[in-house]
Amino acid sequence: MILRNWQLYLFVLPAVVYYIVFHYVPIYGVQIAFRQYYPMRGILGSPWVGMKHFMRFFNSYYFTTVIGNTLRISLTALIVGFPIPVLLALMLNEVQHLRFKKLVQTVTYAPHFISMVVMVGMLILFLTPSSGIINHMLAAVGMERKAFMQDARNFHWIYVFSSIWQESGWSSVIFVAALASIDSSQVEAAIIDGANKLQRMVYINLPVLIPTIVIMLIMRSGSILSVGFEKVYLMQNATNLSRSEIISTYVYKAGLIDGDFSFAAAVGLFNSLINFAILVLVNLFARRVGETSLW
Amino acid sequence: MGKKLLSLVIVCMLAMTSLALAEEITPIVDEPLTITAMGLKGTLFVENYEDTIVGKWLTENLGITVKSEWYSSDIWQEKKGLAFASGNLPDLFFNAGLSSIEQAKYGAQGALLSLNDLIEEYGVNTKAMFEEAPYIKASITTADGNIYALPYVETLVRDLGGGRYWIHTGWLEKVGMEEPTTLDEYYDVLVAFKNTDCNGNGVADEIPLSGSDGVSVDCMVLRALGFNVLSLSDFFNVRDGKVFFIPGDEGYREYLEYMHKLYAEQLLDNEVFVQNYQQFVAKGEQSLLGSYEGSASYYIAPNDGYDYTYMGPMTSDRNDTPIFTINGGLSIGRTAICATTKHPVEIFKLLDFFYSEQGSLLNDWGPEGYAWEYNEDGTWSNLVGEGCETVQEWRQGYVTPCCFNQYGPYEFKLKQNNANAAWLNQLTIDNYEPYFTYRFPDLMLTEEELDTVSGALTDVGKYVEEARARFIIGEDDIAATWDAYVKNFEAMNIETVLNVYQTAYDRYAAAM
Amino acid sequence: MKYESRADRIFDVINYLLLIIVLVLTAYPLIYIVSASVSDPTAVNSGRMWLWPVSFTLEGYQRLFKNGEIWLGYANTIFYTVFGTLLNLAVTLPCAYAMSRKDFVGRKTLNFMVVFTMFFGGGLIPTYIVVKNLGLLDTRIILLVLGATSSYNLIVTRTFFSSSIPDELRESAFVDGCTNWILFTRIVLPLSKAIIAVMALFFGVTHWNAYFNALVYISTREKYPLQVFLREILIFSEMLPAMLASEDSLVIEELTRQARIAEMVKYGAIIVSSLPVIIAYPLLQRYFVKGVMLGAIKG
Repeated sequence: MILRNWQLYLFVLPAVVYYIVFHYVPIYGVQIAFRQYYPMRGILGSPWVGMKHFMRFFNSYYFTTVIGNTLRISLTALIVGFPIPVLLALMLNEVQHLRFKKLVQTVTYAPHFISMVVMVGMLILFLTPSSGIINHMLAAVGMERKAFMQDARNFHWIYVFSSIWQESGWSSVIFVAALASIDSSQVEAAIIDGANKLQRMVYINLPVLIPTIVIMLIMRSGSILSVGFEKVYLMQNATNLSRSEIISTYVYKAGLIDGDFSFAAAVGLFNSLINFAILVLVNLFARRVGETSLW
Repeated sequence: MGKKLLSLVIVCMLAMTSLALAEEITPIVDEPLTITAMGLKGTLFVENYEDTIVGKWLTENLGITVKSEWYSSDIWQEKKGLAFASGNLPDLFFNAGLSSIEQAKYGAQGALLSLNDLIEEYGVNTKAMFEEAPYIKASITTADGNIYALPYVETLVRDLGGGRYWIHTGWLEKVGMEEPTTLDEYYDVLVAFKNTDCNGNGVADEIPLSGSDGVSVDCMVLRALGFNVLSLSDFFNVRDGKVFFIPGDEGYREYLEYMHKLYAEQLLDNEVFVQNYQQFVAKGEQSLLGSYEGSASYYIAPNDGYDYTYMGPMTSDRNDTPIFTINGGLSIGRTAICATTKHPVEIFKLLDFFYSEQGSLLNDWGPEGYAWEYNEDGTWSNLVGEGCETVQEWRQGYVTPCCFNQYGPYEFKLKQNNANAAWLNQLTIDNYEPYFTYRFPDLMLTEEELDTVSGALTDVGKYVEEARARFIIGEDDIAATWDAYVKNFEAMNIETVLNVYQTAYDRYAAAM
Repeated sequence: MKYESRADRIFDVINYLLLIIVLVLTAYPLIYIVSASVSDPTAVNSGRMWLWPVSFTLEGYQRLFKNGEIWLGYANTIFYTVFGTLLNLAVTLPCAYAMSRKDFVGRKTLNFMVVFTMFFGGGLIPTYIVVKNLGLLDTRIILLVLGATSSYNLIVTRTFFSSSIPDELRESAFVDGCTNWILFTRIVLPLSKAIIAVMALFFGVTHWNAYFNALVYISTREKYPLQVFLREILIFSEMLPAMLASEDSLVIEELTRQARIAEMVKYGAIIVSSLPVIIAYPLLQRYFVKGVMLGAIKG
């Protein structure tokens, strides 16, 4: 078998070389998390401190808050945000009018390219009590103006909804492509059998997407603690900190600002371990339940 | 005899002239030297330092070419770390803004060169500066007695730090009140502002006090209550030789109560915590602002620019000495020499040159004839280069981006023929100078001390910021929650931190 | 002839309605950005401008285009995107295909190896040192090579191959005497236009938007991609309050003025930098055409 498929080994060679050189060779750097890193002495020359940085993180007054905030944002994004690109792709697939379809696709995909700085800037402008469009609309229907960005409890909703706005179109691309490769003879057969659009969507299209959905879900579960730094950092202000301080922003302020790479590395490693553990569990579950899994 | 005297005089004059000329331009190196300098890109338009007018001047006259490698602030931290980690260090850092912690850390690790010996041997101008202003040396010496980075020093009174607090004179007239000198008077003025149509547009849109990112005139209020604070990140003060923690103090509670009152009665812009600087300025441009803290009124509220004046330091029932905190114009960590450089002496001589009157002028405004020129009456005016809109764009983008350390130049700056600059200067002299108080020092800690406190300080800092916001908005009731709030600091080991700072302060006091 | 039942028509109406709502909601901020790019920043920041331009001005664009570095960045980015994407496809597609083959020995190990790197890595510093030791610091090549592939894309592509290239295809090909190489290039690839298009898009966009690696590994401004220059402008107005704290009054004037310019320019900068990619999508869409598999197995 190996001999017969010798060419396949050449297929994987470039990628393997890349991974070894740029990912596996540098992996010795993980030990920064267990050392007190002095840049001039190099990684190996820096003293070993064991779990010191981890303990600093665990003992921090903010440890539980920060993890709680991260999970809150992450899970909300997953539960509320994940289905939307799938739905969007399914709906677009049923559109016969080609021009309209292209229009919707292009318009929904465009927000992905707006840089985070501008995106959050706009968000803040829209939500301003006295001059933001959202509050203007509330006032127009007689409701009270709200300082959305000031109420910490709103934070994860604002984060998630704006992410949905920005990313759904882009995320739906992979599903649109998957739907495009559905065998049309199958579809014809279903029509002949009397299935209407809704039924076809549920019984043919959706199943086709299942492998991709499952894989994406598994991979998402592996980033449960990794809520992105930039957007949250830009959205933070003194009044919403109780809900907006997440692991990555906390580490940034506590570590990187003083050049404390070791601390940042330790927290990062902790993150990765938890993420990986969750991934393994979810993958195991997926293997038991279905055919698709990550490995 | 006469002839001999004459020739002596002539020779003397020639000697003096050539001495003077020699003093003007002496190359620091025998052969042209190129050095690399890494720093923050402080201005938008400049490309490379070696191509600027001052860069070229250095090449031609001192024989040193400074090649710049600069980065914008969001990647600067990583870049510094990577430079140290990979050993790819430049010859020097400029426009670096190295904090006291970074200087102590990197200095102790041997990444930055200790400058003490170089200053002793070659630092003519540096030593002169130290003599004139001893607090400079104390502020830049780390706990182990070394100087690792050189500061940028402002000497003009208007630029000594502490902020600028503005109040609208036109509005004061309209409500018939005097400039407030106590916190109670200020409150009354704000109420009056709110209830009168001060900007005369028939709409009740006046905002008596505003700010951005949660900060308005907080330091002014804190100072009125007796605290010597430069900014909201000053957590420590000293009382009778003992260091204490400001955010846990009873006086700080009064500050919170005062600000909360202003917020609750809508005297303080209720959007202050959610709006950014640009939104704040937009309000100024619409003539909505009665008072605020800001760089220049003619910039923040261009339509009423000169109808504002400084709000002097105030007093309160807690404190009757007006205080205006300054940082002495000190911007530490502007330049530093990397230990791996091959030309420490030459580079230091260059840095020392920038502390001379001529060097400081060069760094600030460049050689004569480009961004400025003398007028007949001894003052000087700005010049704008071709293709640039303002003198500043020309000055910082093409002439000199002000990257090096400098000291003053005091005499020169005074002679500037610029109405705005003169106006600001006069306001400072009239309102703030009499009350100048040097800030509680930015203490240099040893490595063990840093280790002990950094974890606690991060958490403390966050808590102070969050709690302050909640108290001012009114989400947490001050009266009910104050004790629990103070207790939390104990849980965060504030006692340990205070002990460390006491030790460091005693060290500082001894060095002065 | 398709028979449209009543259920179908109701479905269509609801579908179109929902999509129109989505269209409007998504389009609003896009229109906002276009309008903001030609409006006076005060009007934008005070909320006066909310849909159509207010105090129309082209100054933002003028300044943007006056900046020579933007054009340099554009050229660099086009270079990195085109060659980078080609490299990405060449590395990723074959590898993903091999990984999708159940008869590929070592498949599980490779899978794990790929997934592992998504979580654990040495971090920036050791990677930087490796790059330095390879002599690739401050070269254009490093920007092409870093990210030669991505675990995420490999897995997605592998999934696609697994679920849409049936085993029967491979078996019948081998019966006909095909080697793996011919099977891959002559049969599998032509059937996979959809995933190739998607991957070209994903990788292409990643290159187009990339700035972090350039900031870390490159020190010559001439090699910077577009996004680095744009970020300088964007970050500038964000960083302004911090910078104002320590400068003399005249420098403050200039910084404030520059921030105002940055405000004017930032919306235009977004448009200028994302327009090409946004236009690319409809062009790639035709590869997501239905019925790609038709006829492959029949007969």
